[in-house]
Amino acid sequence: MTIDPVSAILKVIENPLSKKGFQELLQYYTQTNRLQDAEAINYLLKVKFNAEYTNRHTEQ
Amino acid sequence: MLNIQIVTLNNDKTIKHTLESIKSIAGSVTVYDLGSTDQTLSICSSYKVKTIKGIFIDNISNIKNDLIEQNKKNWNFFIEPWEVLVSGGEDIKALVSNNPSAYKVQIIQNEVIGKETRLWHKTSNLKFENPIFEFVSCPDAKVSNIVLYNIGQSSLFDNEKQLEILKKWKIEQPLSAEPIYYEAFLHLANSNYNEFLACAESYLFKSSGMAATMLRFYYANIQLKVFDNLPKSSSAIAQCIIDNPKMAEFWCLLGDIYFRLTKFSKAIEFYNTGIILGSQRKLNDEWTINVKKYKDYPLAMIARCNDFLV
Repeated sequence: MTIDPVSAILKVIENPLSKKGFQELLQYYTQTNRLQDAEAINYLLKVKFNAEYTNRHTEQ
Repeated sequence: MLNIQIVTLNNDKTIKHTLESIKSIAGSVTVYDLGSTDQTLSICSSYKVKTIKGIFIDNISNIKNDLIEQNKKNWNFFIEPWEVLVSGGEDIKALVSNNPSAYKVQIIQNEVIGKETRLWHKTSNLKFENPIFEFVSCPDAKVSNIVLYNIGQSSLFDNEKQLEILKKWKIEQPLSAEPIYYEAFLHLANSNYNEFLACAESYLFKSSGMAATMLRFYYANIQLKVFDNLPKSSSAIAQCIIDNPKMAEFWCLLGDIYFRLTKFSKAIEFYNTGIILGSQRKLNDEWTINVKKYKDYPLAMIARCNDFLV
């Protein structure tokens, strides 16, 4: 499924305490091969939510 | 091996510092003067530089490209007469001993660090673009440790002359978005905010990429801080974040929007996100950096938010 980045960032803005929007941003950057941005979001998920994800393991 | 090139026009307040800062670099220095009527040439004469009295024309790129053509040395290094080399002199020596290549330097102005291609081997065949706000386009240029500090102005021309050149440029290239981009920043520098918004919207309608993202960032800033238009500011900054989530500047502005809305808990989250994601930026990337937005500013704002939350 192709991720809509606008929808993802709106989820982040709506609820910055939820992982959901950040996870979708991670998927978007992975899908679009923006690996440095994906790594940064992955780092954020690890630090902020004590969780780490890869492009094949995206928790819903 | 290296020729340092400077184009001057009435820069007697700063040129001495520029020349002092590059004195230790092994290489020749060429000053191309566009007709200074102040002490610029007199100051230059007390340094070991070659001075050329040039002809004033409304196209700085053409002037600089002529200098590149005339350069008999292998390497070009351009510095403005209001910039000083604050670090990286040794790096210049090392880089020009390496294989032919092109390098960006870091330029500090106020609290912002920009990156521009200023040092390159002649085999790179690089040229300046634009009649004003000239720059060298070289996406492959590596960011070096050479640091310049802006101690004065940012253009050889006053506002009136800059607008005149932009107007001429727009007539010559009516379909180009480039002059509109620079016109937007000129209006911003002159606090002509309505004109800035109009130019920014026109440019952003047909452009994308890093330059568009940075213009959108300033657009979001003005919408928030001058016009108090929170919806336009937030939708613009959301797009900026999508374009580059590692820019703490963008997250800080989102925090500022929620601070303005007195939603302090949310604002704290965005400031924190900026600190975390900003730490993942590589300092040698191509984007400008406002160093305060990576720690000092968000921490200060978080403290202010907490004061309200207590």
